[in-house]
Amino acid sequence: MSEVVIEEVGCRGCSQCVDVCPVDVFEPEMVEDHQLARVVRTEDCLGCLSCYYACPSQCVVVSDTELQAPYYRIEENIAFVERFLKTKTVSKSISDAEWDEAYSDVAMTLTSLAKAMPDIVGRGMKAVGRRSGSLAASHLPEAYEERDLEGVLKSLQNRFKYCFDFEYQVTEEGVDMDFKPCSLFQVVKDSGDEPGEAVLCQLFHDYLSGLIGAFDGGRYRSKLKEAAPNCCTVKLDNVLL
Amino acid sequence: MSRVEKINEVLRAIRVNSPDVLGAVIVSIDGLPIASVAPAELDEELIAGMAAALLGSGEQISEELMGANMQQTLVRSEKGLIVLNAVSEDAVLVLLANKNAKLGLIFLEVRRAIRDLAAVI
Repeated sequence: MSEVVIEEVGCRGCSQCVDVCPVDVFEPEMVEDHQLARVVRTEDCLGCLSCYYACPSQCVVVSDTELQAPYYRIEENIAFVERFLKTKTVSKSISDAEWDEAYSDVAMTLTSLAKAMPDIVGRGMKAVGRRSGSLAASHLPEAYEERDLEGVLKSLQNRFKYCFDFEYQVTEEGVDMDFKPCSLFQVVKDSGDEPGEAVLCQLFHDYLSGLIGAFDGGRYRSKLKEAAPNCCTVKLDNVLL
Repeated sequence: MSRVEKINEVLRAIRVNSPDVLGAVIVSIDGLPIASVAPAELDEELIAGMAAALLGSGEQISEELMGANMQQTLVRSEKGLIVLNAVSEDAVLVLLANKNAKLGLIFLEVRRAIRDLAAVI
């Protein structure tokens, strides 16, 4: 069972943990004239680590739990959460046809967004992709804890295993990433574009440049090395090397 | 002298020749900072990204409305001017000047700098 502790000295009473916890492990409490958060139902903790990542003071300690990302995609976790929510999740109750419709709508939105980029910002599109990667880095705090590029890549590999499953190779110039395939592959294929060369793919490759650069301080440039029938190899060269 | 040192020398010369110039930055068209003589509080990475996007937008609108290649982008604010000019196929010069700067002198300085930078980049 997970154990949750708030280090009281660091707590600023922002209540982010209270708001984010799906099973109400925390409650706000007034101590003299200060508001603090208290752990009141540690036995209900699912170990989703939402509180750990939400806490701006980093004073929530969750122990005896295994990092599972993304938590809500694992069937047994969905069932566990349902017990508390006493309702079925939307994703469990929709039919295959509805899934297909939802997929098609998301795909259409993504490809349209991507295709608007070169129309409006032209060659500046690469900078937009890179910036989005830099901004995404703050959502992956676990990768900041890694000391080197190898560690960062391992961390991202674990985090992205359900959506952008990849193998990597650190090279003299930077890193080669083999996607097998990434979640965008089918989206691009269905839109009639060429996977790897499509605008959405280019944006994603520049996103990776920004993301990895944010963690290791490198300045990466992306280049499609190979677009195989079912996967792409993206070469990220660090211009600082 | 390395290439970066030569680029920095050109950028420093702009500031020496024109005291109204507050800073000069060279960025790559894909949004990476290359060299900079600018106030320390500037976020180079962010400036590089914005400059690349602005240059890209300028190129698009110039092509769309005039059917011609864009030569320069000028942004005027209450506090001064920002001039963006392509140096080569891959690099952009971003120049910041205060509101007292004479536009003619700034453009002259930009042209000079581009001539010198083109030989280096």
